Amino acid sequence: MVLFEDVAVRYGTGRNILENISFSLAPGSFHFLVGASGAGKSSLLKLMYLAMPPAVGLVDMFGRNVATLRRQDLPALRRRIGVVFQDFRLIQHLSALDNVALPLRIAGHRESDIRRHVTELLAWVGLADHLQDLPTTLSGGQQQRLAIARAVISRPSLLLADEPTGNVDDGIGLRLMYLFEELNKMGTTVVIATHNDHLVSRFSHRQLRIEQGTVRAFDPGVGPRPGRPQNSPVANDVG
Amino acid sequence: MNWRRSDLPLQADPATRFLPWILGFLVYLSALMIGCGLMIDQMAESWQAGLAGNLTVELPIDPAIDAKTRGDRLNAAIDLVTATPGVTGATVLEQAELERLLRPWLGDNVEQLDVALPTMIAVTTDRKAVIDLADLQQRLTAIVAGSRVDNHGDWVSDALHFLHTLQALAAFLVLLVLTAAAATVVFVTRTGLAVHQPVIEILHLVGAQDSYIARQFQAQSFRVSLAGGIIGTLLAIGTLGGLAFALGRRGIGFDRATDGLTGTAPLLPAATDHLGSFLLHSLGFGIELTPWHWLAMAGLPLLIAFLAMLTARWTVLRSIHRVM
Repeated sequence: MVLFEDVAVRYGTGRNILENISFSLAPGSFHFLVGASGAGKSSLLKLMYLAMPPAVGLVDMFGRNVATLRRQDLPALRRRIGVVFQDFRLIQHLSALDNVALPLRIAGHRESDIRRHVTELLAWVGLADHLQDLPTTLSGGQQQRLAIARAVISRPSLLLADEPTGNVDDGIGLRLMYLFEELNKMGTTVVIATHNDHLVSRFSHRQLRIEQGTVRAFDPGVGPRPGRPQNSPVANDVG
Repeated sequence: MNWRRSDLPLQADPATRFLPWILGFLVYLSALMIGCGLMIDQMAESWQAGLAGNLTVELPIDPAIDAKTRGDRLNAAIDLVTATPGVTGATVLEQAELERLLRPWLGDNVEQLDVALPTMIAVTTDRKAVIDLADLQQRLTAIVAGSRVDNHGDWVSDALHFLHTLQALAAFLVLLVLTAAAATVVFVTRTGLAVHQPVIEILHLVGAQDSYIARQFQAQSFRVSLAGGIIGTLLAIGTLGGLAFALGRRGIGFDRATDGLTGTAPLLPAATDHLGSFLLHSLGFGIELTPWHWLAMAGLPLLIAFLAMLTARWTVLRSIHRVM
C-alpha cells in the first residue's frame, strides 16, 4: 500500500531532516511511528498524506508514484487517506456534524446519506449530544474524537494519526488507541506517530523508529496484550 | 454541491461585505450610462425620422425687383416644386413664423432689423421617393437666381456623428466600469484566499479539488453581486425618474405637435401608456424605451453577477496553487 525507497525529507534548500528512508506498509497493518520530539515524525507523515513531495527517492502510495502525480490527481488519493492532526485542525466555524461531514460532501455524497452516517459515527465516538456544537465549545478529548471521526468517516484505506493522545489524559488516550485498533480490524492501515513510549509498549504493533535522521523498523516482541474495558471504547465521555 | 452552504466563512469577510456596495455603485453608473446611450439612440432616430421627407427651399429677396415680379417668380417656384415627382406639399413660411425661427440667433427685435429675409418654402416629400436635388436646384435657380434647396443632410450628418460619438463614449465608460468591477472581484477573491488559507489547506487535505473551493467563491460572488446589481439598477431607474420629475417641474417638455422642444408644453403625457414610456418620454425628447431596452436594463444585475462569478472562479483557479 505504501512504499518508501531511499526517501529524503527537506524543507526548502536546507539540509535533509531525514534521509535514506526505506520501508513499506502492507494493507491492514498497524504501525507506530516513534521518535523523540523534533525527530521528523510529522514531516514523514506529511509525505504520506501528500502535503509535500520528497526531496529525493520514491514514495509510492496505493501503487502511484507521487512524483509523477499532477495537481488534479492529488485529491483522489487524499480521499483514501484519513489524517488526525496533532492540533486537530477542525474548522472552527463549522459544527461538529459539518466538520465530520466534510470529506463526504467533498466526495459528492447525498446529503441524506451524509447526515445518517455522520450521526451514527458521532454517536459511536460518544459525541451524539454535540452534533451542532462548535469545536471551540468542546473539550480537548472531544475535539480529538471529532478529528478522528472526520478522518475515518469516508472509510479510508490508510489512517495517519499525529500524536493523537498528545492533548488528552492517559485514560482518554487509551480509549482512543482501542478505537484505532477497532478500525484496523475493519481493514484500515493505521500509522500512529507518537513519542509516548508507555503507549507503544502497551500495544504490540510494528514500530517505525526515527533515529539519527533515518527510519528503522522494529517488530513487536511477544507478550500479552493489556486488558480492555467491556463497554464501547469511548462510550463514557470523560473529556 | 449545495450553493447555499459554504465551508469557507466568506460572508464574514470585511471585503466581501463591502463588495455588494461597490458593485452596486458600479452597476448604478453603468445603468445610467446605458440609459443615456439608449436615449441618444432614440434621439438620433427621432431626428432622422423628423427630418426625413422634408426639404427647405430658400429664395433670396432682390430689392431691385418689384413686388409683382417677385410674386410671379414665387408662384412659379412653388409650381415647379409641387410638380416635382415625390413632392407632396409646399408651404410658404409666413414672415412672422420666419422671424420666430430666427429670433434665437438675431434677437427679439429681429423684425426691426434692416435685413431682407429670404422667402422660405417648407416642402414635404414622400419618404420613399428619390428626388434629384441637383436638378431641382438648377431649375429653381433659373426662376430665382441664388435659390437653394436644402435637405438638412449636412446638419443631420454632423449631429448624428456627435450623437454616435457620445454613444461610443458611453459604451467605453460602461466597459471601464465593468473592468473596474472585475478588478474589484479579483482583489476581494485574492484577499479571501489569503485570509482563509488555513481552512483551504484543510479542505485540500481531506480531498477537495481546486474547483470545489472555486465554486464556494463563485457562489458567494454571484450572490453579493446580484444583490448589489439589483440595488444599483433600481437606484439608476429612480435617478432617471427623478430627473424626469425635476425637468417636469421646470416645465421642460416636448411638443408632439411641432416636434420641437418647448418651455411650456406639459411634461407628463396626458395618457401615460406604461411606466417605461412615462419615465423616458417625460425627459422631453420624444423618447420611449422599448420593452427590449427595459429588458437590457433589468439584465444588468444578472450580467454583473455572472461576470463576478466567472471572475472569482478564474481568480481562484489561477491563484490557488500559490496558496497551496
